[in-house]
Amino acid sequence: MKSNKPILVIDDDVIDSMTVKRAIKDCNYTNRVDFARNGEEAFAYLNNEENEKPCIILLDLNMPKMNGIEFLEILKKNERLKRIPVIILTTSRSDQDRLKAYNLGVAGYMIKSMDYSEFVEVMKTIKSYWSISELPE
Amino acid sequence: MKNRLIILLILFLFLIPLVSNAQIIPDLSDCFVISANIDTAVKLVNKGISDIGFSRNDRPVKRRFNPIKDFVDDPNLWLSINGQLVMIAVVVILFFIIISFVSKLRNLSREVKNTSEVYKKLFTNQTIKLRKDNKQYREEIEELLKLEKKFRNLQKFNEDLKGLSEKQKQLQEAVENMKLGVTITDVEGLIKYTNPAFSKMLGYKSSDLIGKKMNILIPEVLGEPNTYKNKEVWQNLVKKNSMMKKDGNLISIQSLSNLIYNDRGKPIAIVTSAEDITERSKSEESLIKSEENFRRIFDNIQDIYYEVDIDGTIKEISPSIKFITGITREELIGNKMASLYFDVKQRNNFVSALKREINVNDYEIALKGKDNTSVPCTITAKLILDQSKIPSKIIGSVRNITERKRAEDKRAQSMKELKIANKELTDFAYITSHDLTSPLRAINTIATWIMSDYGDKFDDQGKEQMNLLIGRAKRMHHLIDGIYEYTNIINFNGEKVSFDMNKLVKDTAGKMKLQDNFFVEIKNQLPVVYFEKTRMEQIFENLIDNAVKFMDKDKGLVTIGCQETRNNWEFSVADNGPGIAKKYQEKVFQIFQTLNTRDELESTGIGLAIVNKIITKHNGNIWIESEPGKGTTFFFTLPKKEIIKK
Repeated sequence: MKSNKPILVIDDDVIDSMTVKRAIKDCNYTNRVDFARNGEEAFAYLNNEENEKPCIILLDLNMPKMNGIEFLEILKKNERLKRIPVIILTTSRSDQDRLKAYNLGVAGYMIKSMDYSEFVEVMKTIKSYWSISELPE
Repeated sequence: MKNRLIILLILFLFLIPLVSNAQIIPDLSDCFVISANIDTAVKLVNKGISDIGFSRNDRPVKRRFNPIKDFVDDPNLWLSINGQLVMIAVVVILFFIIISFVSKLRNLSREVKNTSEVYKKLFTNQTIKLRKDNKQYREEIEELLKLEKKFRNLQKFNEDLKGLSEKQKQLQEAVENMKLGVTITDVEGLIKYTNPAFSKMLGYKSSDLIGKKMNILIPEVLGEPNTYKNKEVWQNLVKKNSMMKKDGNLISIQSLSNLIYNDRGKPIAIVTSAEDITERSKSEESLIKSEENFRRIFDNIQDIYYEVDIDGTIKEISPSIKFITGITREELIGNKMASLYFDVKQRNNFVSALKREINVNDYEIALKGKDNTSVPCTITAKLILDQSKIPSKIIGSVRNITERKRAEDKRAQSMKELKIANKELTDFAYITSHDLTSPLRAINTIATWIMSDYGDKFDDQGKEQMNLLIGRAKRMHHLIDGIYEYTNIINFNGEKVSFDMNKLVKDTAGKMKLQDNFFVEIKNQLPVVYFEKTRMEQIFENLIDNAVKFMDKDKGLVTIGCQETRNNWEFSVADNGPGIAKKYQEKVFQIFQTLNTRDELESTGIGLAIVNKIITKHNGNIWIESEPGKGTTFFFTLPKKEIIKK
């Protein structure tokens, strides 16, 4: 994970977004964090040539307008965007959601922890993993 | 003889002149005359001799004449015979010979004639006699035949007479022995005769009845003296009436009476044959009653009983058909069964099924209702085969299942609604778990942040309250999780896999990060099962967790065992904890039930409810054996068919 590339967080819950932002900060990420409140906004962001392509997407599943699964279905058909690692960050522990997500090639599936400190640990793990893992340009 | 001599003499005399004058007859050509003398020398021969090959002239032979020999052997001799006399003598002799021959012949003829006359006479007499005899014989024979005939008739008559008396005897015997009662009364009704059957039927002896009035036996005419006035009614009279027995009991009698006339056509007696039909009447009565009963049932059953020919013609159908089709039984009999169907094809299919299977039960069809509506019905029918196994008719019953259908539809509708409600509930639980979790987490997160960012600014009370806030948020989170899990068990079936339960128990306990002083032991070898693995994990996780939570001993121990029964596997999870009082044992499986306040012991009260739910969902049972102070054992069974791979 290139430290200079942005991280895109797609989540409709402001506090959840805040949590991600704070956790990233607590994990000493240097990356810029951008937010979208649903799939549609995310595509608006991604398709905007001015925006740099994010190095990782943290995606919530339950969102208005375009939910996480719908977003993934479109994303994975997009030649330019489909290789961006997508990690699901959700409260849903539904087997169905998990199955759908992995069928659409997600890089990880994290349950949003009740406990903030646990959440920070999750973020740290993500950071450390994707720091090592090489990505195609 | 005298006559002969005379004739001979005459002939002789006559012949002399003739012969002496041979010239007179010389030309008699058709006879020849030889004149010879005594020594039979021929003196003269007429011309006629030449006809036999001699010449008169060239044979002037004087010789002796042997008339026979010479004529035959040597004609020349004739010519040598001399003398006419010889010749005449010869002729005379010849003549005599002839005469005598003729005379002899005549005598013979006369004799014959006489004899024949005698015979003829005799014969004729005889014939007459015979004729006479014949006639006499014929008359005699005829007489004899007549006599014989008479005799035969007499014999036959005699035999007939014998037969008749035999017959009479037989008849009498038959009447005496017959089961049918027979009685003869005179035209005034006085009993003259009864056979034993008759008297026995009424409990009397025959001798008791003879001379009595018939009326005394028949209560309905008792004391009516004029019963026998109109005698003609007795001719072929068939009656059914009661008769009184000697003991006073009444019996039902069926009788046939007839009048008997004498030679002059005057009625002299009444013969009655009577039969006790009491029993028969009773059985007839009960038959009629049972028939009535059946008819009542037939007339009133809601179901429709029917019989149809093999060509589908209705032979019988119960009146209840009217309630469905609006057509009466009477209108339907003789019509086609197919006309009652809403869709004729259905009947064809039904009949084919019946021919295939002989018996068909609860076959669903639709009849044509009153306003051409379709009335759902079921048919239960049987194909009746004749003696040669050929289908002869169908008997069956039709049941209107409109109400049942309605109920079924209603039930199906309810089921559908229930499913929807259940789905909504699941969705609700799911949405709740997600949508309530988010704000809850937010509260929790922000409370955490406040504590970490501004914690030093709170006094002790403020800090305690913040911790309580975070704790309650967490508890709520657990409750929501529990609801989610619980509803998940009801609504989702996981994939079944084979696994070794020994390993599963060890792994589950391992994952639970138990304290060092808490042990989980397997008492005996657990089976390999085919089940939803996560659900089995949940069962043991929750049961062990329950033991851990309430453990009051320094060294906690959970012992897991199993036992195979005929249909089930029975598992036990025993702990050495405080035990549960009897009165609370039922409560532990109820959702959100905890025996301790949550502040004392943080528990959602969902764990055991989940275990209960999993087991009962798979047709198992769960129960507790426990006494306070002696630990608790949870037993649960799972049917083999649920946990063993087929």
